[in-house]
Amino acid sequence: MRIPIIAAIFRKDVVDAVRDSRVLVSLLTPIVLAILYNSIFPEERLVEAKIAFAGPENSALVRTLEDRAGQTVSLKLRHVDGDAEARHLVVTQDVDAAFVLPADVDDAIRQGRRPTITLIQPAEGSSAANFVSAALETGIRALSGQPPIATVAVERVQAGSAEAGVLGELGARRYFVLATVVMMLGMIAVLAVPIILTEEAEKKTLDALLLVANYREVILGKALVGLAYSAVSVAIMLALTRLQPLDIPTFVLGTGLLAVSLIGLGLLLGGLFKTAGQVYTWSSVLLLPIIGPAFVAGLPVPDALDLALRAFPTFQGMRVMTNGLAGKALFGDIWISYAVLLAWVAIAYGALAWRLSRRES
Amino acid sequence: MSPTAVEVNGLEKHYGEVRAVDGITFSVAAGEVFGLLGHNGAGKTTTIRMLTGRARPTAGRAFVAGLDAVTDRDRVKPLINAVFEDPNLYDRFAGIENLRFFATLYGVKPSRAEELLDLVGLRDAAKRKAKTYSSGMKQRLMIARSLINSPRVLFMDEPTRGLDPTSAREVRALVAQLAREGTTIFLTTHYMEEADDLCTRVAFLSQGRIVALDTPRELKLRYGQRTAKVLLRDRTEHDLRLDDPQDAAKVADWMRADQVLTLHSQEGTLEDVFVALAGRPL
Repeated sequence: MRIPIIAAIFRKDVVDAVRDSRVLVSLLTPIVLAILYNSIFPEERLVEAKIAFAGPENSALVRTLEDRAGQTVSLKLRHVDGDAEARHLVVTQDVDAAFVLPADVDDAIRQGRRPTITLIQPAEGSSAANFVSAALETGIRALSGQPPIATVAVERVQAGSAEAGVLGELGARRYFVLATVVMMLGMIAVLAVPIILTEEAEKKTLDALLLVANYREVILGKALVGLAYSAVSVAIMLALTRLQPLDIPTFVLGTGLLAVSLIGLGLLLGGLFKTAGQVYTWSSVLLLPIIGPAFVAGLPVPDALDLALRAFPTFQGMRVMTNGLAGKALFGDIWISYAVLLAWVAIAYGALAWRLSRRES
Repeated sequence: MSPTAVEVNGLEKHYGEVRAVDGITFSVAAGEVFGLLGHNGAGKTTTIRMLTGRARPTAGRAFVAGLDAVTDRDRVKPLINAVFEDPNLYDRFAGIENLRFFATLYGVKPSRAEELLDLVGLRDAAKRKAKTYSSGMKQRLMIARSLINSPRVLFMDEPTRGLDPTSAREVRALVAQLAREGTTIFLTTHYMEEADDLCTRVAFLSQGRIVALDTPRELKLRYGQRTAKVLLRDRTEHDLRLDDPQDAAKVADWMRADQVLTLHSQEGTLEDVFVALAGRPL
């Protein structure tokens, strides 16, 4: 394996592939679909709280408020000059609530001087004001050195099946956007990668390439193109849809393993077809069983179908990526998912190595 | 004697029951223009594929630039290059981009691409996408690409096929120039005149076997018919066989009677040789 040759093939294909409208379509379609899902499904779990505050901007209480908001409350904090302005903003409904901190609030609490913090809320009350009240109380206790009187453990239970729970827990928007991420990995692997490989053979540029490179270098160059497109496209899609994985290592590992296994399958497919047109036609058919399992991974399905779907890499990849996105184990026995994905990697690249050795002979 | 550029001993390639190449043996001296002629399916392209390391022989051995074409394949590759039968350029890349890509692959200076565009007369079209090139321009760009690594042995598979006469003449002139500069050229072609013009020696391949190998002149003398065309004073033309005693007597009679206006000897063509050997024209 000669790295400069692999790198040259990689650079050439990265540029050449995006000039091919078929490859562009395979990259853009899932992104458009993800944006669509993103706008169709509301973010059920996110409560928006617009809060104004007066007083020290870098108070520990303000940081407590931000920490408490986390992923469940979309907190929009606005610093104002004084209590009059804060009150005005509540009256005009520009904010949901406001609070006023004395100038030396943090030190006053620490020294037990019992400072007064004013919470301004609409006459009818608001959930945002309740959230601020609870968060400030926690912050005050922490600053004064008082341990929590009790710990409240939140346990969420879901009526119905576990899969419905996954969809409910993650929310339709995040679930379907994530499934579209898997769809994009599938389209890159099963459509874009085979097209760039088959086109080399169809246009006989492969003959010229093989005068200097060997099959393994060509294949590795193409696989790297698929991986690069996958990485860039996933990043773009997450940014456009504001999806932030809470367990990044798990998410990256799941996405990477799935992309590697699918690209292996795509390279195998590329060897089966004679023309890029055939790839374009037949890959569209093959995409269904590849993409479908990702969309149903978190939905209630009959046991027999569930068992069958467990053999699909996209089904298992979706499970790992879901856990990575949620930051917790929404799917149990995740080692099975890793095992299945690794098995697909071994099968795809083993078959590819076998085909290459036959071709070279 | 010149060192050997290509040496082939009992080379065979089977595809199932089909013997595409069936035990061929020959050698090509350095600096020689060697022609491999034959019908479609005679085994020419398969031979080139084996010599360039793109197909593994079923039997026999081949050496290129003194190295085993199979076991030393990776060492042979930098020393050779090829012009292919069909245009195989990256269509969405400009001419210069095509050459620079291969310059990178071979690890040569990018400026070599510009030099070669000058050589093949494509400097003005350097930034045009290859798909906009005419057939002749594509062929010249392929020749430029094949020279990117200054190969010691250049394989050319039907380099003028499908070209108009002007483009074909330009390509032949390039081949002749390369030969003069010392590149060993291994040429396959359907065009007998092309082989006659360019090749120092030719081999005729039929059904995977070499049926004749020599210089074009020797082959024509050996297999061609020796004829003469005689124009008499009465403006009648006669084609006579020089090996036929009766025709020879006729010529003698006409000469004595001062009947002969012009007399042209006509040696056989390589086409005649091929028909004599393979039983049908190319």
